[in-house]
Amino acid sequence: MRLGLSAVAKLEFPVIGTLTLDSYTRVGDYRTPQVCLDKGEKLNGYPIVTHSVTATRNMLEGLFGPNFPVQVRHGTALPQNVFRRLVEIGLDASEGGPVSYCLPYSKIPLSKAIQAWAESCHILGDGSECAHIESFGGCLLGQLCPPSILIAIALLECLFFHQHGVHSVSISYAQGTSLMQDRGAIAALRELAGQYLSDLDWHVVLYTYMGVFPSSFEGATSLIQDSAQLGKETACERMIVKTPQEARQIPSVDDNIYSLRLASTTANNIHSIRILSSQEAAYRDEIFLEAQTLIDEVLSLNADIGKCLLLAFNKGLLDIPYCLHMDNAGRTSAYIDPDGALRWARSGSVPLPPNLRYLRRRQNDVSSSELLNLLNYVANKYDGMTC
Amino acid sequence: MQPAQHFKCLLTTIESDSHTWNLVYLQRFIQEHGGLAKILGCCVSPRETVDAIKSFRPDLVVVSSVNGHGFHQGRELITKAVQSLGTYRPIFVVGGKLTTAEEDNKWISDDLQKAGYDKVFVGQSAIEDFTSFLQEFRQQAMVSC
Repeated sequence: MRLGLSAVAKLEFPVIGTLTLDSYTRVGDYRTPQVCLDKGEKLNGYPIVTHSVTATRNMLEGLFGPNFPVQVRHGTALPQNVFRRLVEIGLDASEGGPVSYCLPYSKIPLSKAIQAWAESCHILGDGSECAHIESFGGCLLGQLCPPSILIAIALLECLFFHQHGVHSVSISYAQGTSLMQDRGAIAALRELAGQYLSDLDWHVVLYTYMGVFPSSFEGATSLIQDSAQLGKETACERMIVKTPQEARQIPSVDDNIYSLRLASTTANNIHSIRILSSQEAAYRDEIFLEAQTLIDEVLSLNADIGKCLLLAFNKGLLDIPYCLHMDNAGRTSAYIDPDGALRWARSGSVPLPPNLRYLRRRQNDVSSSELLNLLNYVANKYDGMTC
Repeated sequence: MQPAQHFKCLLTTIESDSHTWNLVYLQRFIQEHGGLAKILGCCVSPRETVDAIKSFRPDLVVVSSVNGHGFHQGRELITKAVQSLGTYRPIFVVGGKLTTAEEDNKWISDDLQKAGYDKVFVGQSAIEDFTSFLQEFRQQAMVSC
């Protein structure tokens, strides 16, 4: 772990270290990692609760500091123990959220995750001077989600963190299927963040495409470059990159360094924030209106944002396309339109503004063969194949 | 509009697998082939699957996994199901990426069939083979109706 972090810390451009936890710790099993460590078996991440505080401090010694912040990435719906350990170590930045770390990857009831995240925010907020949490709401299942609901959930999670004592946040957004739509979406996200998060310290973090990745080196490289360009043109303060090996294997330290350099070089070649084209501005306006309607509807349900989220999912006002969690209504789906933009195919009970220009409800839901094409749309596009 | 439903299918996965796109895809696919597909979500324990088989009484149980642990946990699942179900015996199939290496596919297919699965769908032709299987299964279901 130290090897990877020190390689990243040595880079000549601004970087943030990542400490990703193993999948046992993710589900609250702190004993199995010890068994693996005793046997010399490899884990797929860093068991921060199993290791002693001193061991982790030693591992980070000379690396973690004002010039090299370290963010703990954990994937758990019930993060109290992880956050307690962060505070003991002296770390202050993490990520996730009561919705974004519950619905996509766990079977834990949403009500339990909301309670756990409320406690966890207080643990981190009370225990660190500069507690920071990034909402994973802009990524959710990684692909095939209309930008408006990603933005709405990310902003609602940031408001939830704020209500529970964490006042420095970041809002994630995952690169989608159309660069034009993404430029409009990030512009809308920034405007909405200015409006709803005015009492908070916030920034935007862009993720390179999170879905099925191109399998060719050239295709993957080109997709990563496009994401870096998108991030720079839209003034995203931070970004998280994938590597060209994404489709094949877990990347090595060298792969990660290669990708960080690739993204940095690409971004450095862009010298100004891009003025939106008329099509991009139209996307911005639509997404702004959709996300704002969603956020206002949800916030109107209760003064407690945790209760708002629970009620909203219960009523299907928030309904993540293709999410199988029992607390997700499952009445929505999404598709990619002929321009490459992500759209609602079925919007269930999600309160979308009635006057949106594009909003055409399809007669048919997405079929299995269409779904396969949609899942592979970006990979096929960048691998140079036709869908 | 959904086609007429000719058979009941329980679509499940193994306990360690949190992937769901495979399940979302298969649910649509099975429905399009005339099945009523009940889906149990991600990370399903063998006990949950067995309980669902007892209450839903499907004609077909499809176990799909793509995280590379499907061979071990899929084997555990069929062993537990065979032990607990007595004389009631739906058709069991399993498929996806069941180990971390493609070259394992032949021997794990044999092994999983010995353990009790009626069919195993792995490798490049998995979807194609599963399509043929479902078409045949549907025909038989329609005849027996």
